[in-house]
Amino acid sequence: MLKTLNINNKLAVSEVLKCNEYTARFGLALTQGEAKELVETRTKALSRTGRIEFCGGIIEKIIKEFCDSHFLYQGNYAETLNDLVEIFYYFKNESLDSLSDDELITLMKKYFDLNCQGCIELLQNRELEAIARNIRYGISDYENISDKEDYFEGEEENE
Amino acid sequence: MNSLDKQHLIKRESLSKNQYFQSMVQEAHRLKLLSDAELEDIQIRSVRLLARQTERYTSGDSSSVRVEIAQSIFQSTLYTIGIYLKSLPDIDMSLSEIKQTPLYELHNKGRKLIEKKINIAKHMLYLVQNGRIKTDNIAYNDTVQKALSDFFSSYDPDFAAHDTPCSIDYPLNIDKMELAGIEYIYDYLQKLYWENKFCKKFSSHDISCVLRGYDEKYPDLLVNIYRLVFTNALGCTLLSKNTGELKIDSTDRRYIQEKFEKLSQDQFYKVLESASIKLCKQLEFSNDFFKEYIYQTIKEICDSLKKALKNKQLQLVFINSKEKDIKPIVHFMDGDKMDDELFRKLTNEIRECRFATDKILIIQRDIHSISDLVDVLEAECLFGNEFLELFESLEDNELAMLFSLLPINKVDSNYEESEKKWHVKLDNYLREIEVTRKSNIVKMAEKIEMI
Repeated sequence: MLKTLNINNKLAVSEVLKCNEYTARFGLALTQGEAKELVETRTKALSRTGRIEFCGGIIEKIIKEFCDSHFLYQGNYAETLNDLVEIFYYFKNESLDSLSDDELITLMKKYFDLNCQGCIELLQNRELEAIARNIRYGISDYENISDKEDYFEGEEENE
Repeated sequence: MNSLDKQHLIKRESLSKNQYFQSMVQEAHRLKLLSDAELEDIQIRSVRLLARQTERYTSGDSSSVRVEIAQSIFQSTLYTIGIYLKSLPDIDMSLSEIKQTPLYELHNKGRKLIEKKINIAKHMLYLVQNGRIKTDNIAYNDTVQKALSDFFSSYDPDFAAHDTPCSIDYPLNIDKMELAGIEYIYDYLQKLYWENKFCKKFSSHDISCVLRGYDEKYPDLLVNIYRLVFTNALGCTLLSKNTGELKIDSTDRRYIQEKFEKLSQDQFYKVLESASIKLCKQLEFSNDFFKEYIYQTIKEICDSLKKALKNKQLQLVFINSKEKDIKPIVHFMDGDKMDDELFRKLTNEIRECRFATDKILIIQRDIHSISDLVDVLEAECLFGNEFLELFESLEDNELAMLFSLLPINKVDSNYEESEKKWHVKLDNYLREIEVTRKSNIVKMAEKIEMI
């Protein structure tokens, strides 16, 4: 019966396009094609990460959280959103689902703007990887990633 | 007075016991009791219910879950609906409920029934634990004392109601394993309660004698105690003997062989049936559930008895009671175990030695307890023939001590590779030595009892 679960993509695209009203003040907007691509990215990311979504709304949440970033402009807006959606589902798994959607999106925005200065690669491969590792190791202060270099040095010494 | 029973197209017996809801919908659709549109409607409503349950599972914090989690929640949801549908008097009523009532309502009703079952099962566990048999059988003791309690602490009736999160080793007399979740535990406890109640009519000494007669190693076996006790009690009833002691000897078996050999399967079943009725009266059992359980047991016993009669192997069914052999015992008190740090240093020193003679010298000088010696044997300190050289240097009583620690089954997968290694080496060494010396060592080992 799970197979019968068809996400209504058309509805999702129109929901994404509605966000243009909100992001217009930041000079950002998605075209119909870009919104469609974003919805497809989400479907693929869900399938790639072995996840299933019922209520949706993640794309809208990401858009509304990131649209005021200084590092987003019309030229990189759609591409960055696609990357962020993929990263979001990947790190839901990597953090063992211990972060809520809102917590993860807030963290992504914080590190995207501050430590990574708008660089998606750094966000994914450095900051979020370190946070996810801390979570998997059961470290309660998982955001404390400043001493990660010491940690790796210690690990190498042990080896 | 004759009564008219309504005939149903779907037979309750033909439906899956642990996927009751799904199999009912499929069967109803196959028999055209549900149209394609109705089936699709049920599927859509099921997915909506899944979405609702998933939201509850994540407490609304996450809009997505891993597929395995969603599948488990889905199975749990359908299982819970199935529990409610099973409680309805007939299939037609179940079908109309599925068609007309919102699925979340059916789910809520099922969830309440599960809660009731959990409470009753907890009470039954209390009765089972208080009425348990005194036996050395490890599987029985572990299951009654630990595994069943573990179920209640791990069971998640909201999101994994179909799961049975405990490891039950003890096999019931009749356990078809068709059920799952709380239904399985409920059924298991109910049967175990009656099995215990039956066995408690006999002394634990007599039960142990029957089990010992079945196999000396009965504490380690996965064997149903009730089946053996019931079969011998039934045999005593057939012989019109006192059932109290469960004793059946070779003369008794010969009598049974001669008397029942020529009976057909049906005739023999009738004989067993009337013997069981007599037995129940004698032991004052009148509960319908247990009587039905006994009839099912007889069906299975009848087949094995008939085969045993045919092959003149009745001793395999009616077990000889066997008293415990009282052997002279040598009590062994082990020396003090070495400190961990010291032990680590010692094993490093042994590993650094080039010759086996040096290794043996260190072992003889510094090892003063059998448990340390075993640890050295398992610490990758000795290789190849060095084991044999070490065994050569040991006294017979030391070898006997080590031999007494060997498992019965040397290829048992529960042992680590390092453990298996010295087990095999010692076994090989003992095979090579003189026969009389070996038998002395084996005899000595049998008498040793660790304090």
